[in-house]
Amino acid sequence: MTFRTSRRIPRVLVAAVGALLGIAVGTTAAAVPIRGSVQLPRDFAPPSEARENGPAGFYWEEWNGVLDLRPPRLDVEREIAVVLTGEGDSPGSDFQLSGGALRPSTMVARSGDMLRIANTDPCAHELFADGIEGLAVLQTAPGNARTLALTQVGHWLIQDRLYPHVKGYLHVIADLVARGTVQQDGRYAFSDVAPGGYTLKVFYRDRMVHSQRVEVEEGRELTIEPVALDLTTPRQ
Amino acid sequence: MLLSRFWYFALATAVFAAMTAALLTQAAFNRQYDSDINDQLRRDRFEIELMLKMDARSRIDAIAPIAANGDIRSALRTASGRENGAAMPADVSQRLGQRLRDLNRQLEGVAGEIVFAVDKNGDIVAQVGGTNVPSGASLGAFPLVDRALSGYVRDDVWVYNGQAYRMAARPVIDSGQYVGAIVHGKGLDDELARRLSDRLDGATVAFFMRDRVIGRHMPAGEAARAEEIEAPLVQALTDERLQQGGRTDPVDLGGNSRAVYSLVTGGAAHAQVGYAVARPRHQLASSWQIFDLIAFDDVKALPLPVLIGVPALLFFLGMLFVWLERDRPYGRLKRHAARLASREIDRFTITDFGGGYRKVASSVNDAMDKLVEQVAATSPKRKAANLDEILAPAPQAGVKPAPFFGFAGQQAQEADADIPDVPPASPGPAARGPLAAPFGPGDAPQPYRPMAPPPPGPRPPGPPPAAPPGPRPPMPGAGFRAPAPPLPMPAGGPGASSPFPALAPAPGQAAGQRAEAPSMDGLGGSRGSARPGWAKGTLLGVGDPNAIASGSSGDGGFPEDDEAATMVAEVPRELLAAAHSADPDEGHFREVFERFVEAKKECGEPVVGLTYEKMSQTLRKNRDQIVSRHGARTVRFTVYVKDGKAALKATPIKE
Repeated sequence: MTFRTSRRIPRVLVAAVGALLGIAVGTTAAAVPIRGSVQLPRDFAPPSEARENGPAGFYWEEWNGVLDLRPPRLDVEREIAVVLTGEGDSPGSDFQLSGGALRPSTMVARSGDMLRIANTDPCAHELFADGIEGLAVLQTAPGNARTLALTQVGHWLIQDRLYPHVKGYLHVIADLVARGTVQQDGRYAFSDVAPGGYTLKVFYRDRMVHSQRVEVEEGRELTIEPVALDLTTPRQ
Repeated sequence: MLLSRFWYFALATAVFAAMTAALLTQAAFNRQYDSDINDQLRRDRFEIELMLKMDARSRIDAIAPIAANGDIRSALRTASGRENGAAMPADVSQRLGQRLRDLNRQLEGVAGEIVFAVDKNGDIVAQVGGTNVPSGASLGAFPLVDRALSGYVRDDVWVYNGQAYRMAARPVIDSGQYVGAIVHGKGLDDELARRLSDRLDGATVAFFMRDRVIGRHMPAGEAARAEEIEAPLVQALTDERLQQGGRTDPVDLGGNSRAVYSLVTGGAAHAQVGYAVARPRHQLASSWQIFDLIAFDDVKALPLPVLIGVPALLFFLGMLFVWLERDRPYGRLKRHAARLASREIDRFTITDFGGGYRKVASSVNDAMDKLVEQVAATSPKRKAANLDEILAPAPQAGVKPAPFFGFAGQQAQEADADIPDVPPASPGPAARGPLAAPFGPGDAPQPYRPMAPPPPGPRPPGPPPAAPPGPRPPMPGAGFRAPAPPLPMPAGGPGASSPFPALAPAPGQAAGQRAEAPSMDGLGGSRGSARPGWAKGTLLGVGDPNAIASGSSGDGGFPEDDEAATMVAEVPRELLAAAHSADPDEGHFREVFERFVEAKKECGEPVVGLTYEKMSQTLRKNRDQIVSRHGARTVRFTVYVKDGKAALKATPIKE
């Protein structure tokens, strides 16, 4: 009698584990990566960091006298955000203060998420945004994080009271499902996107510069045609 | 007083101008001082900007050896060559940190308080000073570092972990590539404020971050304190010009200093990091305080001759005006008043004075006139001086005139006749009586003789006449001094060369007998015992010869009624000769007038309106009347005092 009881428990247990494994395998098997690239204008130069109003940022800025200057370049990784919107879960809204600025500086988050900005810089920051309750001036020491519950859809500018170059363009949308990783050369990639129909959106600073419909098929990696961005388009 | 008044006006105007100048000088000084201090503060701010710029340049140049150091370059090349996402090699960081520390120490005065060595991405490889760096920390997004990594040398101002730093960065180049950058930082602190303040000579320099001062230096002596600079910070930071990169207008700090505020040139301006420069502000609280600012050299430079000479000249000029317009006319008035008091003059001559003094003189004259009128009104009514009445009216027609002689009884009754009674001639000695008093003005009424009686002249060779008696004592109530003596007798006696011929001795009178007393009516001469036919009457007429003989006159023969005391004596021949002039009596009239005026003054009577012309006219008229009525050759008038008043008596002269 004892031997029959011990044999039933392992069967139920095995069945349950097998079911779970099946669901997991089945899910994993459906997600596919999405790749693409954005193309910037050839002679595009990012806006000067000099303040329109206010004192000059320096007394001296001169060529070193030895090596030719490097041309100014857009920090694509920081300032271009490529996202998918549609049906699905939120990818989360974690961002950083890194290298002395927000990374990314163009932030797309989903309403209802908890916005979290971690300070990985060696210096403190004092982030604030006008119009968002809960994002008043507050110092965030190195290693700490600033959090905020995103309760409404909208667009806001996050600034730093200590550093004028620190600016974050927060876009809170309702149907964010995936946030792509953008590289300096303009290539981006989404990993593990569930099959279905989505809208690919590209944000640059305070505006959306591109949007297109994409269909993700099961089991097929999607490569989106390169998107030529017009970064001079005014904010919509 | 025009000059004096003008002088007083000029003096008041000068005082007004001086006071106004003093007050305006105070206001002008304060305003000019404020303007000067504002200009000084603007220059100070400009100099601070220059000094900070040169300081930035010096730091940029100072870190060049560090950026060019081989160890630094190789270490950064190694760090920049690692794979993306790979951790920083620890030994590289350690070696680089040590080398960085050594090189920074060699900078001495320019040594950084924080120094970073970053790779080509801005990741911190090594650090000197500051807080612990989290692993993988980067500074690549800071514009200073980003531009340095692009090949620029540049400066900036950071707020790094609560402190303000003056930053400088240079790229590190190795093998033709940018492998990283050196980032150097020095604090915005008291030391920098001291260096800047020393260069500005007396200015307070302070650095601030938002509403607090983070570095300061106050020079010795009067200087603005940090608390005073901090107080207006909140207000100053809202200044639009300051926010746009300029400076504020000069701001008063507690009333004793002024300051201008400005943000720094760099990223820290966004964090409201700036500096203030202040200077003491001296204001004159009163006009007197300007004397505290006077130096000895200023006094030495004063034109003393002008400063002393001009006021002295103006002073003497003013004194001259005062003397001309006040002292001199006042002195004149005083002298005339003294003369008026001593009766040298009867009244002020107003043309002798000018201006207000003329009015004073006129007022005094008016007052005297009114006083006279008031006295005249309150005193018993006295008829106006009428010489006709004094001289007695002429006998009326149909009325038998009083006998020329022998008027003793009648004279007393006709005392008010127009023509005064001619006193009868003095009777002979026999008829006279032993107690007959000599005729003359010694009898009442007393003639007015202001002078002392002369000594009697020598007796004539003939029967020596008795010396004329002295003047009788005045009647009670006459109130005048001893009557004047009679006219001096001729040297040869009454019959000598006197203008009044002596009377011939009376018939029956032997020479040597005592002659009758001569007339004392001013005619001189002596009574003679032989009288002319017309000169019959009672000498010293007075009254009834019988009364005289009986001695009933009461006073030894002198009549009580003095109006009958005149005796007509023989008219001296000289007198008759003197009557050959156009108006031979002119001299007599003049003399009578003078004596009459004098008598009135002695009696205290007014003499206003009494002129010689009027009196002589009256005398002349009465003389003519008496002469025509009595057949006299002329008339002689005498002045006497009656009841305390001056009066005249007429005596016709037959020959």
